[in-house]
Amino acid sequence: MLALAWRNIWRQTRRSLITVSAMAFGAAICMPMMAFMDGMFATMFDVAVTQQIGHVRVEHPSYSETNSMFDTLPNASETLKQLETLPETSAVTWRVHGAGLLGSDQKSTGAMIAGIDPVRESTFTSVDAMLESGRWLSKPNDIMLGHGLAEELNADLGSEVVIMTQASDGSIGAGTYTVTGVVRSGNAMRDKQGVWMSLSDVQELLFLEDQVHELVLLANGGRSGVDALRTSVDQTVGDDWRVRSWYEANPTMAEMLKLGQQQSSFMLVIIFFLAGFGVLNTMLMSVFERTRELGVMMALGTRPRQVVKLILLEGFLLSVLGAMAGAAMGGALDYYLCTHGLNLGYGDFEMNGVVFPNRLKGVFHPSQAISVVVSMMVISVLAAVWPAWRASRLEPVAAMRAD
Amino acid sequence: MRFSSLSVAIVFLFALLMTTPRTAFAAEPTIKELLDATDDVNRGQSSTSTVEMQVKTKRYERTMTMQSWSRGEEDSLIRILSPAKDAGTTTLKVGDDMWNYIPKIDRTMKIPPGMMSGSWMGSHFSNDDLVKSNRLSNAFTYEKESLIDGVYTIVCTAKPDAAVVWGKVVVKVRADKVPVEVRYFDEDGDLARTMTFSDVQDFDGRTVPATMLLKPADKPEEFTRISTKTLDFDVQLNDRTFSLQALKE
Repeated sequence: MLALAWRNIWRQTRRSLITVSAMAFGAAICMPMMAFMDGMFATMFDVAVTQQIGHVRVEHPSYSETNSMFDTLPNASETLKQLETLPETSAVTWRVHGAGLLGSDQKSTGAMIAGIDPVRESTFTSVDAMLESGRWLSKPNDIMLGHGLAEELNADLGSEVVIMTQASDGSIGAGTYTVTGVVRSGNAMRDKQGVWMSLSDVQELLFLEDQVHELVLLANGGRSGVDALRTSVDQTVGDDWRVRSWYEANPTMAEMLKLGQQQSSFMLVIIFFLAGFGVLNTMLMSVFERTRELGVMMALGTRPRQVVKLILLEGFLLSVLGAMAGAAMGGALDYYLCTHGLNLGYGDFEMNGVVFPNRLKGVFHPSQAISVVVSMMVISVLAAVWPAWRASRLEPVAAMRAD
Repeated sequence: MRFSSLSVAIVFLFALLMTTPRTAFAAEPTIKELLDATDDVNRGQSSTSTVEMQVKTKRYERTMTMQSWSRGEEDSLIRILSPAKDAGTTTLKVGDDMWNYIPKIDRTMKIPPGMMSGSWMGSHFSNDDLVKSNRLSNAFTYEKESLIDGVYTIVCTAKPDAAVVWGKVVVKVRADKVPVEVRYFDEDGDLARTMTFSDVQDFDGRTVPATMLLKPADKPEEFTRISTKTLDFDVQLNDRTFSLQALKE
């Protein structure tokens, strides 16, 4: 029967080819589109959540409102040790923040100071991707500048910069640092006015011994482990501190990611509908044209169930061809998108404080490609159900008389 | 003789006519004079002083002593003498520009415009407070509100085009030009901070309030108090005193 079905679809070569190519194009558009969207959201999530907010974060209850230097978590090393032992977490880091006056030889300007743990931070951030030039923090008095700040101050790698600020005891905090790296993190504001220094240097500068402004955790098992981690952190640190998951800390981002997913699902549905109707139309036409032939088959003893099977099989074969061709084309486009990226022609552009590179790369999830192919096939077979049912209900005698 | 006695009489009369308003003038200062006196408290053609600055905030309390030199309202140099941690830290102001010298890192840094509203040395004074070149009598329209027990109350309202941070400033100043209190209101008309002058003393032949107390309205427990220890007027100062080189000395 497979041979019969195969022969049947090629009886109208042109029509079948058109249907197959319609499905193939549908799949071929869907796949890179989804890879592109995923790439965009992955970039966004990476910059805003993984690098900054963390999956779960701990801070002083009013820090996120005041951003005050004084709203710190005391006894930070003890808390860090406790959090590190939680089975739900894969990585913990701590940071201290401040603001100050940053000066190179001639110029000075305001800067946002981030004190980070160079080793811990490197599990949150792709060090190589973040560094535009130079190297990561390693020694005391190393400093990395956002690329905008480095340009503004004309500060080259290896040059000295000074920071002057108000320490937490009211005294003047000041220090001299060596520029080891220039950073392009993707966070628009930090790239323009941020500096990164080692946690201990900033604690010393601001007179904040063993105090930090945030403890940031990544969940074991990625995003799916966030809620479990949040609960467990909450129990560990107690009521004095504010514990939030990334989507509580940045509801806008959570909302956008959700919306984006809905958008791609919606697109998927539209394309599948088009493909489904293509198959429906082809099969209806083919059943209509073969009314007499089907009548003869049934008169010769073919059972309605077998007719249904035959038509469904034809639809299935069409869908397999379409899906395979689509997967091949889509895969090729995906490959290009994921390796070369898509030049959007805007230059680097900013959205929600996240800088996207001019060439935005897609992210390929095999599961997504499979879901495109499988749903395409399921839809096609479903679309063949009605023509098949109609064919099976033919009265052999009446059908044979049909023109 | 007749002529001469007549001329003497005329001259005398003229002199009388001219001096009469002058005397009245001196006894009752103009509002502008009072405002200028408030602006120029502790400030002469040139002056040098040592002061103690006590800063109390919710987070910290500290006392610094410093020496300052100033020439008119354009130039000033302020050097911290104690505590040891900050000693030698010096602020230079020339016109609207301001630099800080930090001995610990042996560097001079110009304060960029964006940070002029920031705190000066951890006090409740902003950098702008030190640099401000807008005189009350220039940037504000002013009006005497009352004169009670020899104390004038003058309401100054910012001119619409004036680049000032305050919407309204209410000055209380004694008839002998010693300021008593200045209240600063923001653009919405809410009280932002109050400066109180007290402990009036004679310094180098001038009557000056030795203590200035600045209290932010929204933080009742916080204040910055500046107490003048020594104050000398019309001292010899040259351009070099107010140069970037002098910062480091």
